[in-house]
Amino acid sequence: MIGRKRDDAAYVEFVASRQQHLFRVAYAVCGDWHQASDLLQTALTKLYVAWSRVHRDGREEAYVRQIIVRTNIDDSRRRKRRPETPGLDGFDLASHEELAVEERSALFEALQGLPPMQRKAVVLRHWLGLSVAETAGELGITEGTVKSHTSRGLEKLQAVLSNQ
Amino acid sequence: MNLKELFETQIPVGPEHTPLPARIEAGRRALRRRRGYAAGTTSIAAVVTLAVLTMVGNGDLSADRDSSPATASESPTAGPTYTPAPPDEELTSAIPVANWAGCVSGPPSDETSEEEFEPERRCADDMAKYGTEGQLKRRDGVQVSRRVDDPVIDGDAVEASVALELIYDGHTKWYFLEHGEHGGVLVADPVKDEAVAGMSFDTWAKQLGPLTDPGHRYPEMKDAEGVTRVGTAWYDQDGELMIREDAEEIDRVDDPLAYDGRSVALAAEVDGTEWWTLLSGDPGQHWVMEPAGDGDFRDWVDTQVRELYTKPSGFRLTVAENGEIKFEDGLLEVVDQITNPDLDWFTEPGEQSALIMVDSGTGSGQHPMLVRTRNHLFDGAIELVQSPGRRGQEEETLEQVLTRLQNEGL
Repeated sequence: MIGRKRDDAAYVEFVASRQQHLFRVAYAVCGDWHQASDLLQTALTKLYVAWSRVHRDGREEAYVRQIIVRTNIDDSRRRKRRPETPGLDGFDLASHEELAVEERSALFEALQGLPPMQRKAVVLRHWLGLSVAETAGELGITEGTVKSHTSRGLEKLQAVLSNQ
Repeated sequence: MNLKELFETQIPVGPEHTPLPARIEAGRRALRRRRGYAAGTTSIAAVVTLAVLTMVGNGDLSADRDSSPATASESPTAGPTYTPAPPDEELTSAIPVANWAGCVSGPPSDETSEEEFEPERRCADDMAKYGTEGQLKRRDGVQVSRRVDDPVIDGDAVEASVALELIYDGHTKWYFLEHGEHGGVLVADPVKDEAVAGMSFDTWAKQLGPLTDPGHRYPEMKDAEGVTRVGTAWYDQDGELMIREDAEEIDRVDDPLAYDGRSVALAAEVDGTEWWTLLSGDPGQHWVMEPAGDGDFRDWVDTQVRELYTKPSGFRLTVAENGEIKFEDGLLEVVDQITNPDLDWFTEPGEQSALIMVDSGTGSGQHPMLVRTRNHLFDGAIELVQSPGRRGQEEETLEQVLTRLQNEGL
């Protein structure tokens, strides 16, 4: 109990300070707040389970990000979307459709127009700053495929954004 | 085109987050399930300090909610009580005392896999449990002496919960049962578990709930640097104690943990809720925060400090200047010891450790234990027992245990 309480404090601090950023990453990856909320909750739950080891190694954020990305890939492969569920404690989340128009940025719209793996590659490489090798490891694809996805994704993004 | 800057500025913030206590509770629930599996998957199973946590399966136990009059409950805070239910065929076998530690079977599971979250097994030695329809059952021969209904409020995830004090053959166990898709079981031994040392059943049952009570969410705010802070007080990067400006300080104990002035116990009210907090700056980083209880704040502080530094009867240790560990009551004997083994994941800066071999003197053999100390005071321990898969094999030496721990962890 003592250890758990001590760990909870560090866990709470981490979640409180980083969940906003991680929520946005999840949203950029999947394009839907409900899914993003599920992804983040799944990742944070697994982080809690693995907290001692992950916190000891100082890779909390990388761990959560990996779970978000991999879970999203798994979901896509299953080709079935999880049923929409309210957040814990009954917190209902606004859907993508409910977002104010001003919140739906040109970048986001362009990003969501990319094929899923191109989108993930661009987010990991050009927002989160992962290397080609790291991105390949995270997405489970070769470095050559990462380069291909990234270049094609960037090309499309640039084309869309330059027309705005 | 600076994409990183575009991402930072154009990806929206999104809707409100799931409350932090709910995130913690989801994590704890997952942890309970994982421990139910993991305990039997390694050759050395950790009997972790707080309790043995096991899984309730969704098996085919028939169940009958018994509403008969009370037989043993005299607890002033207990809710409805019940007499022993008709024996359940699947629960009528004698309870092997040796198995009371809980469920230690199941497949290996990777921490990041989905499988660990599947509630598919149940322990063979459960003393009480929910049936699939939510009826409460207890094993034949088990007496229920106290009961508190629904100590935990958990929205849709758990349909019902109950805390029970159970007695079998003179032994007392505390059970917390959850019924629902994500239901689980928490078992505490009031005699052996350090986490509940000196605690009454009513207190134990009471403390199960606060985190999930919507009325008791941790207060949080952003500090001057924009860092989100949880609680009524915290230590900043310079080690200075910071107290929320809107917190009304009710009582305060300075440095109750004797951490060179860097610990504090604080009773403070925020938004109409009084919170009791015990925390320290580095290196201890102890953090306990609860809604104010019915008792005296100073007594609560004493209890928290005692829980940090003492153990229940039968499990009380002393640490000599040279690091030698001894059991005070003589019930257990340390027959071998490796002081400060190379297990950095077990300790934090300022803490010491020892791997000891313990003999109970009852002829039941010896078992290893990991002990953590701070300033020559007992700080925590993990008792290591052999998994069923290794039972009957030759007992390991302390050096072999250490090698295993270094290579495989717990």
